[in-house]
Amino acid sequence: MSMLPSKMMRSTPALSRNIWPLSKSNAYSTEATFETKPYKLHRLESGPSTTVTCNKEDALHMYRQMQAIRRLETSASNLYKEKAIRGFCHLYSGQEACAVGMRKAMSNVDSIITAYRAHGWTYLMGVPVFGVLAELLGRKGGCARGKGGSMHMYAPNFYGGNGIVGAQVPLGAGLGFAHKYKGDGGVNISLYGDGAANQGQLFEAYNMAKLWNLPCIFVCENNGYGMGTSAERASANVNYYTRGDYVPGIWVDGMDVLAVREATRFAKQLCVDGQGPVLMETATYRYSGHSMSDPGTSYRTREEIQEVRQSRDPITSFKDKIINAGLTTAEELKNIDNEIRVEVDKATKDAKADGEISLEELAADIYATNLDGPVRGLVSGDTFKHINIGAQVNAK
Amino acid sequence: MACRIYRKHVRSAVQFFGTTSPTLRCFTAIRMKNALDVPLLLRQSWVDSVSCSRGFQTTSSVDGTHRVNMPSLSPTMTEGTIVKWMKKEGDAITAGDVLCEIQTDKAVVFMEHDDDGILAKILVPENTADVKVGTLIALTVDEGEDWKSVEVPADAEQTPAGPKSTESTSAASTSAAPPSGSHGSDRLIGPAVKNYRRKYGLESSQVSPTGPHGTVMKGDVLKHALANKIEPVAIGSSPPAPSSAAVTKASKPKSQTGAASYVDVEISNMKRTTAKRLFQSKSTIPHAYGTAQCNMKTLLNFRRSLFNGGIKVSINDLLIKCICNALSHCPAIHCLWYGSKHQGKVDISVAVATPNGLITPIVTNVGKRDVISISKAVRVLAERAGDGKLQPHEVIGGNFSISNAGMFGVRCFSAMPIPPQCAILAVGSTSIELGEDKRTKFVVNVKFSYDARAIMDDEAVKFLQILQNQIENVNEISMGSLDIESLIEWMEKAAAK
Repeated sequence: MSMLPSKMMRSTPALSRNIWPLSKSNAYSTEATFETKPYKLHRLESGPSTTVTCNKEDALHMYRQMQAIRRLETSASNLYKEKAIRGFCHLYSGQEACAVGMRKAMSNVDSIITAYRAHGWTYLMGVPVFGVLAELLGRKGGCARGKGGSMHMYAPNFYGGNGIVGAQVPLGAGLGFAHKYKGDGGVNISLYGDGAANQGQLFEAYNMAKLWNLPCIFVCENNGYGMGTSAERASANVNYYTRGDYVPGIWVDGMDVLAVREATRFAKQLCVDGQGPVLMETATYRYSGHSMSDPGTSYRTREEIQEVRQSRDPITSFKDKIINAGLTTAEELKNIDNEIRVEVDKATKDAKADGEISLEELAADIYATNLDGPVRGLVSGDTFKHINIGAQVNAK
Repeated sequence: MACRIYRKHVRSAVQFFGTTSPTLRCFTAIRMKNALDVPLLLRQSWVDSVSCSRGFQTTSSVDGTHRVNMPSLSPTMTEGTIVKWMKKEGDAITAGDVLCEIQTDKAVVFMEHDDDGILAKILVPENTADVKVGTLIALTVDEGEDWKSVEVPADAEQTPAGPKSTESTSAASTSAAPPSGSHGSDRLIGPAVKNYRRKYGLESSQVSPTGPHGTVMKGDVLKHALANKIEPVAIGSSPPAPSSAAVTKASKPKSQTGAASYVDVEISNMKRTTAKRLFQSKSTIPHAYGTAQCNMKTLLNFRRSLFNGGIKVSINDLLIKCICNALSHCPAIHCLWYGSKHQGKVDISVAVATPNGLITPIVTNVGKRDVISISKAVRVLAERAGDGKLQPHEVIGGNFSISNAGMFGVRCFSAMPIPPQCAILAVGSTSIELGEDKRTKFVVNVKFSYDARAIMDDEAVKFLQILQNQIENVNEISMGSLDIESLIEWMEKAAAK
């Protein structure tokens, strides 16, 4: 609801009389307006609107999604500390608003590709909590039948967690090219961190994307630290939204889900209008270490983390915002919290009880259509039969 | 005085860099031997651990009560010691707060809590040793709940509630099942009871208790003695009927009255890890040795010249640099062995004795440092080791170790390589000998122990030869291009003198 109609409401009593009872019947307002932090722009004359509106349904949905990711990651962290999850595990806690805000702005043809911090995105792209946790635990109920683990999860339109730092961005440019080629009106979002932002291949991807005006949004999720090095110590230019040079860029507060949603909408519109690609930097923070083997306190202080948790937390701040705006009540959100807790607890229990795949699956699902006969093993002469078991994701 | 702290697997390093796929497929794991054969092994044990750990859940919410289990805070941790609780029962916790300090097999680390709530009950007190990963250690409740009325789950009793039950008691507790009849732990028994018990040579298990929680009271002991007509025994004589002297559940370090006057000494986690690691070294590595005698005259002169310039470096610091120089000529030596050989830049572990045991903090990238920087690094690390404040990354890694007992007057000794490292150098004291030219000679014995699988004898010989050469020809250049500022400072001071 823009400002104009509400002014009109007040100025014309007849009209307002017609409208008031409608909104009153809900006891709470159904839509509210919020101010975001100003965006920073690069090579753009105008940016996304700093006044954003949000209705109750969307607010609760986004709150639920952020809370689910937080709880999912907490559960993953605990399972790791129980030694039930082994190997790689990168948590998303603290960065929830980035994913949820972007997801909200995406249509069902848009595609997304990210790096190894992929649990939250997998959930947002339709895999239930159980599917994510079972994958982490290496169980057959996992979204990649337990064969992928933390960094290799996929879902429709979600081209996965990718293990190689930065390598997902050229792939994302390719996905953008596919959208343009097919003319399906879709946009690709490629995510990378402030550490990967210094990878050379990103600049190659920017170049090609701009050369062909691909519908790509390159998003740098700047959580302040590339592994164990702060952005300031690793990058000559920490204004990541300007680093596409000839590619327009937007800086957005990555702890504000509404700002991220608004900025993504804006960037998407540019791409749809044929003015892509666009760079977006979301300023965010991660609470845990780079991965589970990093305590996360040898290059920053515990006080710094606690300060962010208390003053900038994406969930708490959004919660305060929507309660103050009268969109919801603390009790309603508490109920959501409890529902999610129960859901994640159950998923954790089920995932732990789930079985592993059999040895026959060793060479299963390598190809959507296998044209090559048996799969070569490690030892010369070893062969395995290729079979198809799991659902084919993004195969078309 | 060898150094013996476990080095982190290559696995962890790879994990940290997050660039290699952790795919759990066996064939990939075998293919990528260096990085992933370890996870394959771990995976085996993981299957075991999961099957036996099923049933505990970290965040199970029963009426807003949440369980906090002992976490695994290092890849190799199986048990840990709770050093300190940073929160009290009843304290509010916000996500990210530190609940307690836990000593893992490598270092003391903070355990963070990921959720808001109130710490309702601490089930494992401070200084409890060897709490297995997965043991329930505390309970939390949601904000606003009554934390005082929290119910302790039944399985919590399995946790070692008594403080300091050490491994050494396990042999005793398995040798004889405790007799029927419940009796409280020795902890609750008062001094008078203990006195009478000792006087009559009784174990608390022989006496039927009447006190609260099955505690043995003074009257119980006296009644038992009277009923069975037991005479007081003189202190120092053996206790009666060893067969009936059943072993109590929590046998504490006790001053025995009997012939076997051994006292159980508590072993720190660090010492236990050291023991494990050394056993692995001695039992799985084919050791080979080589000794070289080096003339220390030049090195001591160089050290004195630095000292005159106001720069204090130890002989050990100079030797570290010499070793590094020698290693740069013999890259075959500083390697790691995981069934095959792996090499990297020179990171030297230096053995440091601390009250908790020996630990080997690492001087990283020695090749890039000059001797002053090495000296500073060693001093800082040794200080932190003494305070028990070393971070995991400061003790994990390293591909060559040095152990120096020279300052204690030990002339020559041998040390054991710490797997997966393949080599360690044991440095003895400097002694004065008469040289062939009838002049005094300062001589030091260095003994080189190595893993004969990874290092061939000819490589070891070459290394010793070059090392000897390095030590005997120490100079400003070989000790690293001393950084300009300290060089100027040094020259100015030297000129002033």
